[in-house]
Amino acid sequence: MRPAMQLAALTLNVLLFAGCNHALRPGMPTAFSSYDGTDPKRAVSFDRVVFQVKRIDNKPVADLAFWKIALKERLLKTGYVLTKDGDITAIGATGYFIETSAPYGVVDYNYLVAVFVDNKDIVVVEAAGEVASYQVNRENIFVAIRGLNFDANKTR
Amino acid sequence: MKCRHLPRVLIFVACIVLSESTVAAQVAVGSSLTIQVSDRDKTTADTIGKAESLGGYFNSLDEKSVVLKVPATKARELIDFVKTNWQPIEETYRAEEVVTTLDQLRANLKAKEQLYAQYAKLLANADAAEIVDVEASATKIIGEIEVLKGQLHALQHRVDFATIVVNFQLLERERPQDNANSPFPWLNTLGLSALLRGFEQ
Repeated sequence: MRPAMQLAALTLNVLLFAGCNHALRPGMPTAFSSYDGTDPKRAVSFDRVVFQVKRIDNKPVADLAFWKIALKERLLKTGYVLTKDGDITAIGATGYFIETSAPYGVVDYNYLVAVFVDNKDIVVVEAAGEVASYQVNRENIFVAIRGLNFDANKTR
Repeated sequence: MKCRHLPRVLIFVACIVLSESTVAAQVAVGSSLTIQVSDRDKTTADTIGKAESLGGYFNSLDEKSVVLKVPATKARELIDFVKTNWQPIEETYRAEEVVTTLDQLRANLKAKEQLYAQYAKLLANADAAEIVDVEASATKIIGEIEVLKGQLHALQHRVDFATIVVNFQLLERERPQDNANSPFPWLNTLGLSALLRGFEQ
């Protein structure tokens, strides 16, 4: 890349992510820019793929098998189209992920939800982006989810 | 039983082939298809790809349609491809008999070329006073010959290549209804819209 283009790209990033903390945090996908001090924790890629992690109460108390069914039914009944789902293993916990596609405006988006049951809490990871951009970042997103450390309770 | 009917079947098939080849040689065909699509760009790419694989090309393209040209003998294959892969809503077929026009153009061209040959002979034997007049007439004839050749070429191309217009009608796509009323409150907070909205704040 020529210096002028590098400078332009850098300037664009600065403008786009003003207010973001560029230091990568544990649990956030590589090359995503994290927002500072937000709850839920949020990060965004340069091509507008978003990633969010939140911890909520496990109410009513139920196990992962229960939430798998409830989550899948919730998404599919409301119009999301299933792309893929299955178990996913993070550090110290096994969860469930579901990937879907859905129209948003005039373009198609991929939307992912992953859930982990952590005693009295549920950790919910969401990611979304335009299909092409999401697919480029998909592996980074999964690496980040697998890197969630429940042993150290880092997402709290 | 089968053998007894075989000759008739063969004659029938031969007639179809003959009439189609005759028609293909003298008729400019065109078709217009309106199809329902969910992804206009992909449909455009796929139809152009198919036309190119059949020896054709795309003539023009805009947001609502693509105009494809394929060898006339391959037109049916392209139309079937489109109708098989997308939901057709409307289809029109047009066949224009051009044999008379073609013959007329060819006859005109032949007459003009003969006339030009006569002018060329005259020019060889013309004296100084006549040369200017003959040359002017010959030049005019050359212009007319070129115009006729162009018309003939364009018309022949219309016969050789069928025009297939594919009009797109985008399927109405509904955004997921994220106002679900699940008995589990946290599930109601999920959704693409809510997620993206959170990043806009």
